[in-house]
Amino acid sequence: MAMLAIEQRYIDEMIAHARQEAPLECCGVLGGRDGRVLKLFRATNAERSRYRYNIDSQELFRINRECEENGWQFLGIYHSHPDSEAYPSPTDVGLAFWPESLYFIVSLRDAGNPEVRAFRIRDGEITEEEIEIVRR
Amino acid sequence: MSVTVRIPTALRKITADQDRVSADGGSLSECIDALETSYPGLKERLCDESGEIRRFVNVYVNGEDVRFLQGLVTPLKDGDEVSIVPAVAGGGWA
Amino acid sequence: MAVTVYIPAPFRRLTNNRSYVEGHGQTVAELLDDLKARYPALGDMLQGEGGDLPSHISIYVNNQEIHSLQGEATPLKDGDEVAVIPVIAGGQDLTSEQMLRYSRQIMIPDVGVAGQRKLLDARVLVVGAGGLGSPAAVYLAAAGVGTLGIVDSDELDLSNLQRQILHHTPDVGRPKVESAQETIARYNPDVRVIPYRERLDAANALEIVGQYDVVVGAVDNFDTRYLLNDASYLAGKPYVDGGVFLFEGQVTVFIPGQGCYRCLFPAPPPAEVVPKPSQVGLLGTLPGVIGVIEAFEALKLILGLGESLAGRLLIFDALAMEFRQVRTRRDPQCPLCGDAPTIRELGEYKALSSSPLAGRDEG
Repeated sequence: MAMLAIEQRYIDEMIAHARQEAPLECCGVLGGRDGRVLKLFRATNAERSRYRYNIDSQELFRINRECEENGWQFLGIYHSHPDSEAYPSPTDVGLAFWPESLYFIVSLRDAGNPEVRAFRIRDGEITEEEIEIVRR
Repeated sequence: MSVTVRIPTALRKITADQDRVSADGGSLSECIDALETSYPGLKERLCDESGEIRRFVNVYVNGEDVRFLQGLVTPLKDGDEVSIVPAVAGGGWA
Repeated sequence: MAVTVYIPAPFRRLTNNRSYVEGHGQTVAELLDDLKARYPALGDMLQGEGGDLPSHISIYVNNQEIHSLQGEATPLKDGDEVAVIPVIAGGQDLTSEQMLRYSRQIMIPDVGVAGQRKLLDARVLVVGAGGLGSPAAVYLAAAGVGTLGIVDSDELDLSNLQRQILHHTPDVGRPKVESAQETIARYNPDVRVIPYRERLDAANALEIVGQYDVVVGAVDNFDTRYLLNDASYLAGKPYVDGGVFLFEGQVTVFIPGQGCYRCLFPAPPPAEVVPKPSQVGLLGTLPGVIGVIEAFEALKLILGLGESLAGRLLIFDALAMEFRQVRTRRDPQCPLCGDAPTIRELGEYKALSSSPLAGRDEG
């Protein structure tokens, strides 16, 4: 499948968002096309929880609409695990309804050393994908 | 009518350290007067100059605040339990 | 009614790769039935338990999610656009360390992992880091209440250590909220303490209280008691109230709309007959008992467990070692939460008995 090309600034932005929302989980969408991330959408976690994220439904609609208008797809979906590892939990897998998107997880388990990893989650199966950092 | 009256900590000096005493009275006000007779000084702690129960003290008959019953004229029967409960906040009430 | 239905990427393989399909129905429910008939594979995705729409699908009519409209009964007209979009959701699980730390309560069937998550997500404000606040805060922290606000403007005095278990001897002279934060961190690093080294007053109370789910009152004076009661009611927060005197304790819970402290005691004792806390003695075990009961009631509210003390005043007689209860009610004439409230904002609380806020009638 197509590799995802992502600039370092988007990785940095996901980490910044995670830190800002900690100890609650943050979430957002990476929109883009042709395997290239073009915009990061920060979203509101409607659950306001340390243990659940759920992109606010109206925001999801707006983000989706903007991507449609620009011819973008949801190349990635990101959320944070403030306390646990950057790996999809059973909850993450059970609620992974966007199999075409790469699921990015930001772990703040080690506060000084945040970790970002990406996974394809399809039919309950997790496959880690290497993140390809590109320049502009 | 003979009732049991639960005495709060703050008033036990007046009732010789007893946490419950008996009193007679067909109504709450009769009961309070009876208590005053046995334990002088008690009524003045419970009631103000006009004879009304002070607003920082609650009196309950069988667990119900008499403010929601008939106040001082709430009738009493044998075996009823009257509780005197003052507001407490660390400092309490001398 | 003929409407256009937007199909997002995850569902397009079920609609022959089309992003937009036509649909018919007078309501969203009818439209969904229509879609299920024409695209059975899509229909399977839209079928949840018991035939209801699964909770992980959001449906929008002309940009508005149907929960903010009339749900599946939302009417449709010609030309409307309906979108069917799966949620984006998930979440971390408890770490294995948390599973072990809280194992003794997770194993309670009525608590479980879900209950533990509720505790970790909960925000409780403890007003007062003294005799009552110390045991309350310690047990709330130990149970894993994720965010604890602690309000106290004082520094620790040696005489406090007879009962205020949040603090230790080397902390004498330090602000209590600081030692409180340190003690709690040592008990449980999962807990985030938000210290408020200030007195609660009419200017800050609503803003502070508003950020929490449950308020635990651990104060030693009537002014703050009435202020906290008013702020909790006005902010719509359940308020756990506790007080002690000598050998007696009282504790209850006020749920907004079901009575408040003013319903229970419309006015405090006049300032002149209330001795200062430093003038009245008590054994440390007394606020110990009441503070823990307050924490217990807060935990029960968060977990939805058992019967709360709402509607009852628990009276503790330590000398007789007896608990008894009396009934509390909402007073329809209460100036704060009654049928014709006169208190709609926080006012002055000094020398309450002589202020207009002291009660309905002036005595």
